[in-house]
Amino acid sequence: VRTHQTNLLTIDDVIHRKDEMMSSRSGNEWLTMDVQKMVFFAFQGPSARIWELLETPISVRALVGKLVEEYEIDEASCVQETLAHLSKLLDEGAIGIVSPTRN
Amino acid sequence: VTAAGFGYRAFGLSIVSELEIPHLPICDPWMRKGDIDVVLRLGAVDDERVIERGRRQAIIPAHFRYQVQNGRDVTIDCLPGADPRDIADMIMSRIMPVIAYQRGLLVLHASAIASNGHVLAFSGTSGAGKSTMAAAMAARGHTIVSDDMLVVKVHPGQRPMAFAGATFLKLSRQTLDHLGWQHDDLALANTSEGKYLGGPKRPNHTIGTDGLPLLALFQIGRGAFAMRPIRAINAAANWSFFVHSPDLLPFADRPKAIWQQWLDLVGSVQVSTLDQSGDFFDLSAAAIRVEKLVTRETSAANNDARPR
Repeated sequence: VRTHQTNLLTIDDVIHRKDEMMSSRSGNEWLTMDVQKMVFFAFQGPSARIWELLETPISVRALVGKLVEEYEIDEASCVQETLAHLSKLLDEGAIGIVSPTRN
Repeated sequence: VTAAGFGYRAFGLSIVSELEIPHLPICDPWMRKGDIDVVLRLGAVDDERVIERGRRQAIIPAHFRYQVQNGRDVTIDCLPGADPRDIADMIMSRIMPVIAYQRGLLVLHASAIASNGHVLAFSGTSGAGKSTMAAAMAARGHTIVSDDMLVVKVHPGQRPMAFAGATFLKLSRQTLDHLGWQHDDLALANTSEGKYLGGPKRPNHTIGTDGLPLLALFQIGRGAFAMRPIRAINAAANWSFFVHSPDLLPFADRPKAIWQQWLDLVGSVQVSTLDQSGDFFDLSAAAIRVEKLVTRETSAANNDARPR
């Protein structure tokens, strides 16, 4: 697990929602917007849960731990899918890395 | 205690004004200073253009120079030959949104009516038929809440509250004729559009000053008659259609808080498209469909609120 890395993001990075991201819960989904870029996202299912868990800074490892507890998914698949999803959010500028662990 | 000439209670604000603004619901102009939210005075304003948070100073050519400070102090410097009706109309369309944004309020480009204790808002570009749709509803006995500009306050976890604004609708002679509303004794809204400040002959009750919960938001469009729900995220992304004078938002007080209210709003009320051809037959059909929606939604809301 420690060796997992997708694009710029690794399992040990601590990530957070960017300040410019506004969010609102609507039923089972999270509506979010980047107030600087005026880009909008809707998160449902596991991605809504991930967004919820990103309310305070959290490591990818801790995030995966919670998802494995809550969903029927094995850890390796969860790491892979979570890193892929978070990398997209990172590319979109929705989240940032608090403490990069890479040299 | 003060009296500046005219007193109005609109957009959840107490306004005293040296200029008459016939669009707004009147109240006693004698108010305690601490109760006044907005003071509109006549006075000199220089030519310098200032656009910054908490202060906007500019000119509306052929009408007036203005300065708005902190969403409270408004000075209007009328230009020679300007018509008082045009000045009042421009204050409604150009100055009131500035005041509201400087106060950190969310402003929708919408006309609205109240039905069964809930507000329905009709949003759209200029000429889309917001006022006409609201008029079609008012003609069926519903109460006019606001025309063109609707102030909404949204608190997380609560239903958004909509506040009364202009309680007359700007309507063409053709619309007034269709609704059977006499226009001979109505005031022209301005000298350029040929529209009147209209409403039912016997006005329905007003909604008061505390606001009413907003039930639904409609995006008025042209086309074959149709009403379809819009996903909340699509409505959110289509903000420029619903939000009044979006160019003013960067200079609002706490713009992020306003955007938060926008997201909370689209996440908590039903948003639908409402297309109609502009034909008056379509308009009546649209009004009936909207009434059915209100009946269904208010009944559901009441069932939710009933103790189990």
